[in-house]
Amino acid sequence: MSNFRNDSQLYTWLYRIATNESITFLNRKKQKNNISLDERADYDLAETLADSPYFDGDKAQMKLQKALLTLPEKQRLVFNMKYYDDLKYDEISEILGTSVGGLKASYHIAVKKIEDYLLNTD
Amino acid sequence: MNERDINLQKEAPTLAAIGNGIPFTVPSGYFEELSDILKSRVLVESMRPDDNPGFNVPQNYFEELSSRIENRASVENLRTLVPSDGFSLPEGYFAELSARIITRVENSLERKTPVRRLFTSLVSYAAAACITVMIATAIYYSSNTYNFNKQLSEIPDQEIINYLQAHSTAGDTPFIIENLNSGQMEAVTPDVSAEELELYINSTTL
Repeated sequence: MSNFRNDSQLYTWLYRIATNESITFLNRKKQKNNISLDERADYDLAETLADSPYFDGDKAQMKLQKALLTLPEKQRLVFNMKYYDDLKYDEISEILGTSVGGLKASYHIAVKKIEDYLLNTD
Repeated sequence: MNERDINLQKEAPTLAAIGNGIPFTVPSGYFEELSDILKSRVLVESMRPDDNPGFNVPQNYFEELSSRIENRASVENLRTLVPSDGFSLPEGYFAELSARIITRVENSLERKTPVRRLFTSLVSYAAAACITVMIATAIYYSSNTYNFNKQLSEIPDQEIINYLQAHSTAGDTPFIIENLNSGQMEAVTPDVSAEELELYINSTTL
């Protein structure tokens, strides 16, 4: 809390910390498990998702989660923040340090890819 | 329906139909215990010394891990393809090894390195004997000469003169003349002139 400079909302500041720490944690985990290919890591996550005791969705939501795992990391982040957390582009820009225009493009592309995945995958 | 949902309906109707409900749950009591868990974690982190995280891995351990595992896998694969490396040990090698080592060590202790001297003891003794003889000889002669001179100096001069007059021979004359100086010559022949002496010498020369 002593590092909070009050130049943004507390919520976005905490969100940024949580995002960065989560990414760092996942990268360390990948490194320790000697997982070098992102496709392989995402495939393993998709496979374990079905067996996860904390997944509480239906088949469609499972498919959506698998579709998300096919996205690049940045696009996935933007989509999650926009779609699930309903953050504004300004807030997302503050958290990720990306321009609003770039975020809109990323979100638009992510939506398209997910739609294609949902339509073309069983 | 808000603007976002309207736009999503147009762009991705399948996605819009699924909805944005979060399909994940958390363990029971997660949020109730979260503050306590966070406080305890903060306390643990604060107690950890900065310079010693407890356990360290070698430098570049994770970076080289994949190549190290691949190399190990290749070696294991090679072993399955070539089970024998072509070398074998004689029968009973390890069983006799300790006894063989002990025997060899004992033999090496008994064996003494021969020491060859540059100069044998015989040559040393001979050299020492020669030197001793030379020194003894030198001492003997020097002591004889010394004794003779000492004895001679104790005899009065007149006795020596009387002896020489009684026992001199013709062969002693040149020797006597050689060792006489002019002063002594006048003492021996005070009444004889030089011309008479010369006449005598010329008449008696052989």
